[in-house]
Amino acid sequence: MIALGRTYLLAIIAFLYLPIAVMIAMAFNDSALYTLPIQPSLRWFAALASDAPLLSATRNSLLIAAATSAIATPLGAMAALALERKQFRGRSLLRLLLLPPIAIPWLIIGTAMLVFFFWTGIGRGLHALLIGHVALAIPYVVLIVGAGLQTLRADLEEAAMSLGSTPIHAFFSITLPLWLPSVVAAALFAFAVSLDQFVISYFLSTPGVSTLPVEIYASIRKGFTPEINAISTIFLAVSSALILIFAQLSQLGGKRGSR
Amino acid sequence: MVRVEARSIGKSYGGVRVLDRVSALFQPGLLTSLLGPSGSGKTTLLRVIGGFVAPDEGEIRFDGENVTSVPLWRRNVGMVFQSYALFPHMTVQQNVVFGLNRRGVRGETARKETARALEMVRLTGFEARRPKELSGGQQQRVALARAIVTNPRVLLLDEPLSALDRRLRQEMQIELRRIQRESGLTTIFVTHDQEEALTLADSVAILDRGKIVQEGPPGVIYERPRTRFAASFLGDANFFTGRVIEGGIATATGVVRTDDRLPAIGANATVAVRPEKMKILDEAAADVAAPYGNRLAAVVSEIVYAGAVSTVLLKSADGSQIKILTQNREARLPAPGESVTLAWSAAHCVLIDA
Amino acid sequence: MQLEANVPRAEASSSRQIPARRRWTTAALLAPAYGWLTLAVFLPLSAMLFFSFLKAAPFGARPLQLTLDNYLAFIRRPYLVGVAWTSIEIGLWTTGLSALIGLPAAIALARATRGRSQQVLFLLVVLPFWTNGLVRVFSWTMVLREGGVLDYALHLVAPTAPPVSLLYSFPAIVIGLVHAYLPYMILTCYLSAAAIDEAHIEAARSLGARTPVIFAKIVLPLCLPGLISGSILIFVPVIGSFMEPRILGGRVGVTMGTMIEDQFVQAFNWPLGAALAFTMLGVVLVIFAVSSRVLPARVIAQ
Repeated sequence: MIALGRTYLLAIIAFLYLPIAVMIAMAFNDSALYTLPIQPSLRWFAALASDAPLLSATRNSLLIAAATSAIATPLGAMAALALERKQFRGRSLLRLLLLPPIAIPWLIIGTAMLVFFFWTGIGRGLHALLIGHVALAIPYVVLIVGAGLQTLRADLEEAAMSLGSTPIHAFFSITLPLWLPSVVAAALFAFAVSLDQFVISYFLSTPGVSTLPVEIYASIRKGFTPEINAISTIFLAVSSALILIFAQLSQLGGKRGSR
Repeated sequence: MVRVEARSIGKSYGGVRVLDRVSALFQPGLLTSLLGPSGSGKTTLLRVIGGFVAPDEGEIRFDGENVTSVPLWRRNVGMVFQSYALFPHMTVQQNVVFGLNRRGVRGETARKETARALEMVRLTGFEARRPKELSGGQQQRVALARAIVTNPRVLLLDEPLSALDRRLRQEMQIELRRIQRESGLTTIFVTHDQEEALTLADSVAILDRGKIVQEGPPGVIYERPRTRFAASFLGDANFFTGRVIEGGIATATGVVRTDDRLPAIGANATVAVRPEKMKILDEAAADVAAPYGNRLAAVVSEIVYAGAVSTVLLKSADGSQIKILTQNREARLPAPGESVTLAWSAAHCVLIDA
Repeated sequence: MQLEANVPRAEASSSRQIPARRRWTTAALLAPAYGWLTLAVFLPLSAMLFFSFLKAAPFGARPLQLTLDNYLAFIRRPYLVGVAWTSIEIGLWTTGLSALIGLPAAIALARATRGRSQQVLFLLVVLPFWTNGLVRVFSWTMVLREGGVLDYALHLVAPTAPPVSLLYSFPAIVIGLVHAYLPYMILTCYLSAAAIDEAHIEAARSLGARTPVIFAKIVLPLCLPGLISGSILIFVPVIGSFMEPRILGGRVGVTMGTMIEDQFVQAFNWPLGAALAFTMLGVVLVIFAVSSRVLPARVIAQ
């Protein structure tokens, strides 16, 4: 039974990784028409260097992801602090309001943003992308950072205060250091959410100003070019690395807080 | 040594009155235990004294000085939390020195004070450890050292021993008593464990539904409970209720005599008798003739053997249950179903408010 | 020890000013995040709801004209019913296949692996989920197209077979979506399966139950919450998907998602697009509402 279970599991993992493996393989294949068998080559990676739209989209993606992380993390952390540590009426309603951005299909949120931004004159472009990405990232940050706060007992701060710390000193000397791993994890997650975001970017970008996923989508619809494989491979490696670091951090945060 | 006073402290949470104008006086240098069931308000009272919670009404005074509006971080109290609340990212040394640093004590003086506190709790040599590398009992000691190192005006302990197992708890009770005596701090100790309150405290205050129902040295509270709640929460008691007649109280099972001054004839009265004060008469011995003020026929229903003592449950003629505690000195215990005569002295019948 | 009960009033009220200040702190902490969400999510959704009742988008000097026409589109344009049905079919197939494949995988992960290898396998299962969906969908085109990996592999085994292309077909869409959302199902089912107490299974075994019986009577019912929440988490985004049908379905892939996209980027009939989106949102909300009654809060929070 156990051997069967493991075999099945490995088969599922093979299924999950098959197309990814194919894509990576094709990125290193010399043929522009994806003909098999593979002839190893780095020409598509080299070609990336001279693909101006793709490079500019990559730069935009990284820029927006960094800005999203830098804005959404403090905003989400502050909200989480209030939601976890303060008693007030309407708390459960505010928690509930975090769900729509996560649960409503992005298509609907994306088109709604398009309509609203167009109507109000905010328009499309990098600033609109940033507004949208931050909004998407905030609920995730609140959830991750809030979970980190939950493992931190409130009486640690009380203990510090009884020993003479002002509330502000107690926060910075006790709560913040213990909370930091989950805040960093949330920042990484916000970065990853923004980097991977396609649907909303698709509706909010303009022909000249887009992000990497939007550019990739445009290329796919235009026709096949192996350069997409190369850039996707790099992209995949970056987001996997981010998530692995995130997994490590959030686990560490949990371990430290629970003791 | 500081005299701590709580004056008619009131506190409600969401319409529930947790503290109902409680007043209490904590004598300097003594260990007072706040004893009560959960929900009695004992922890809230402790937190109000410490400044963790602001009262809705009333005031807290340290040596006559009103500290009610002094914030927690300037009140100079030492608190030992139920969870210990040790800072997990700091070493033992850093935990203990934290309060000294906050009060401007640094360098060599701080190091010496810390060493002294750790010596007092017998943790010298553990300075570099982190809390998670310590056992529960050791964490408890660190928490205590951290709370006393700043020489606080009052030491507060919130069920500090409840997370320890029984053996360790008994050891720590003795340690705690020693440390409190050595430090000479006015100490307030919250517990729901009556045995802990009796063994540790110089004075016990029993709380019930946001009020202190009785306060005094453990021996006095045990021997002279004033209410039914005090009698049954601290120790066990048998109660006899009836109408006052000439020379005693007429109950359903006969007249009960007491040395206490009874109310006017015709009034209702209740007395409490501790289980160990009652005795099963040995019919064969001369005991029968001995001068006990009270006697009562009862049938043994159950015997619970506990080594040094046994608890005997009996039923009297009117069906009410009686519990007695007997030393396992005599060879023979009565068997369930056996009819016996109980006897006890009139001096052990304590008149209480029912 | 009874002391006088009178407390100077001024002091009692000074301690009551703290809550007022705390309220301001709380508001200041919450305002930026929720303000941002309002600007970028809640106001846009409200604006779109408003648009869905308009005859035409209110740009230029066009007057605002309210109408219910857009919501009657399903009656006026019968082909939309077919499109909606395609979306639902894709949703059902994807959800069903994910459940069928994912549940055994989750049980295997929870019960046939231990310790370090369990952690690694778990991470391997959820990792692709966090990589870019677009990239993964695109990679399927290279597997499914004529002369693609699948075709190539088939001809290695059976050289005489006719060329195979699954690309631009209904199955291609479903394969791509199952691949995209399977980790959801494995994750939610795994959480349920991992919580099953070994003692339950041993108790059943000691009572003489054999493996199929144990599976049907114990494992399956206990995995049900995970199965249901996984199904919701898959069905909702799948009926709103548009890039997978576009890339893998080609001309076959006309779904509600692509219809809505078209209204915004091709046809510029924003009121109709808004009405279609809100119809879909209505369906999503009904699904959430029903499931929140069926499921314990814990499952939804995950």
